[in-house]
Amino acid sequence: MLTSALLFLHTFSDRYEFNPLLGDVSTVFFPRIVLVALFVLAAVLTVRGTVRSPDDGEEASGTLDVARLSAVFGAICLSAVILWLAGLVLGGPLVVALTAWTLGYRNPYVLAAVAVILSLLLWAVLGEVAGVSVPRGAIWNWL
Amino acid sequence: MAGSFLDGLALALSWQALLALVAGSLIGVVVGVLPGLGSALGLVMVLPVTFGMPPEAAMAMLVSVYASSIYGGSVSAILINVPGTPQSAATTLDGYPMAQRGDAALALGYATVASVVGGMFSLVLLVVTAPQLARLSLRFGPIEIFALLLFAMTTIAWVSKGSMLKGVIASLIGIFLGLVGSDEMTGMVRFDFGILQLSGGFAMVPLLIGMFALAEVLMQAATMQSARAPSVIAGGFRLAPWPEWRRRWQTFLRSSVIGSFIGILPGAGATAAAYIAYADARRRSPRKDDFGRGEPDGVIASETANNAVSGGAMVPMLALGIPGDGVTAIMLGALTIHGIIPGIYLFRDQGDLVNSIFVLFCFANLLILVVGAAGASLYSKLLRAPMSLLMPTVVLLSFVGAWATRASPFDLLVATLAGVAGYALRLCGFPLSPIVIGFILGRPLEFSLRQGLVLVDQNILGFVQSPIAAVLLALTAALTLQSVISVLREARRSGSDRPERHVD
Repeated sequence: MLTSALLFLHTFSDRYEFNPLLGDVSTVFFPRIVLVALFVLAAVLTVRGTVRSPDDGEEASGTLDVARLSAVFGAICLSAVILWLAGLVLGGPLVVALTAWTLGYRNPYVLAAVAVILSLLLWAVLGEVAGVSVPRGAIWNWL
Repeated sequence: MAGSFLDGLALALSWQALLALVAGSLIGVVVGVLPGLGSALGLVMVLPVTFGMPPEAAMAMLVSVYASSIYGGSVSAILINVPGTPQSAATTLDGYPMAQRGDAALALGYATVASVVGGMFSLVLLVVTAPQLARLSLRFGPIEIFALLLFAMTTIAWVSKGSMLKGVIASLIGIFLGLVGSDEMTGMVRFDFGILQLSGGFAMVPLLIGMFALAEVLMQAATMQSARAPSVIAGGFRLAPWPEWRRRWQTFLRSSVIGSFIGILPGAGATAAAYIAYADARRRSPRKDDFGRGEPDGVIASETANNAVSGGAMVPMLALGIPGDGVTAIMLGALTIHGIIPGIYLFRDQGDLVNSIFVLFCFANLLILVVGAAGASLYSKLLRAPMSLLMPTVVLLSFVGAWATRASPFDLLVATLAGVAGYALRLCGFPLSPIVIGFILGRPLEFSLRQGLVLVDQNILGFVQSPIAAVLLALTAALTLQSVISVLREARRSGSDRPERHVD
């Protein structure tokens, strides 16, 4: 609700000032409609949330493992950085190992094998055969 | 016509297309079999792989992943009582009891054949109706297109899983995300906040990968009970004798019809189709009491209907460019990435490609039989694979896929943030499919509205002067009104329930 309100206010900044040379309808005409609708519906949802308990099909079933969730979230963030810096061939096995470890997998031999084979397979199939761009590692450009 | 079909057949029989078809079928079954992955995630994962392929090979891979992943969901439904995809939830009702009494191979046989029959029936519907619907779209100008898109989006939000209000909000979030970047009509950049990468808007693939794949990893992390694999009943593949099939032909036919037509409706989806077909089969069956205890008709009804949805859902997607659900929204996005714009011009100018899609869809369905029969004994082993080892694979594939779009670290960041947002939204009960559909349809919706306003001289009442638009807008208004009334009624009911709950 707050985000839609702020974005709506942003549409009144000078850069979006209506210019008849650029068409008959302002460039933020439609975004304003969307943001107003979003604001109103978010407000309705908030009001509904205060007068009744939330039961609209939340997916959380049972208890959430917050510690594991935080660890996996950290691993995912770190994975993005590792892949960007080290590339797929070197960073890929680290990403798989890191995420699997935080998810509770504890067989180091299987993990190492899967991590290395998967990374090399992806590099070969996507990068070399299919010609798809794979992370090469920014660190190698700097060195 | 015949020439175009032969050209389409030639495209479909190219080695790249056939290879992609086989690979797609295998990938599709694997993501279908493994609970938590599913059709949408499978499509998102293979989407970057298709970037370097010719369009027919890319379509082969996407179509086969789509068709076979729905089938794959039935395997885990039968062997571990957990549907691999939501579409196969109804299959657990009779599939698992069959497996428990030692008929797992037979249940898989029924599910495989039912999936093929449903898919092939819906293919016939697709071939017959899509060109007609595309021809009808010739009458559509910007005003009619706007009314149609608005109607489709309202329907999708209306029938989306969970709260209707949340479905609408999710659609609006998707539309807004689609509007970020340069305005197609004026070239002005909107909502970029000085970030250079945002001036071109959000790339679709990182957003999809985050919403579906990384959000699923976080979901699994939060709810995973242990790293131990579930107990699995041994699989196999066995076909029932011919008389058994013959006496069940009506279930096949009715479920195929139900699935195909529900598929055409925006938003209804395969899960609803499977349950409706299941209920219909149960109501009409002389063995009503056996349903829920391992009645093959239950497996047949569910699996025929959910696979029949795939062809039905492709009708509005190919003919009008309107996706019926999240999965077809991803397919639509994939088509546009490959320069294939659905609608009448696709049927007129790229008839051979459309025909190749039909042929590939047929092959993809037939391949289910081969993959289902040949791999049946392997699925039990696959289901024993621990999630804690599968999810890291998804993470790596996700980031590689996000990178493949523009080779930009910004897309890795977008995927990560979309993953967190997707997880938070799912946790709060927001459906993700309307976000994707809104993201894809947002720009065409805005474009047609603005073009329409120019046509009617800014007079919004001009929109109802077109009969087609008037009917569609009236239907949209009726749906919206009905939604508002039900929200108010629900609020009043919960208000009157509240004191009682408090006393309890």
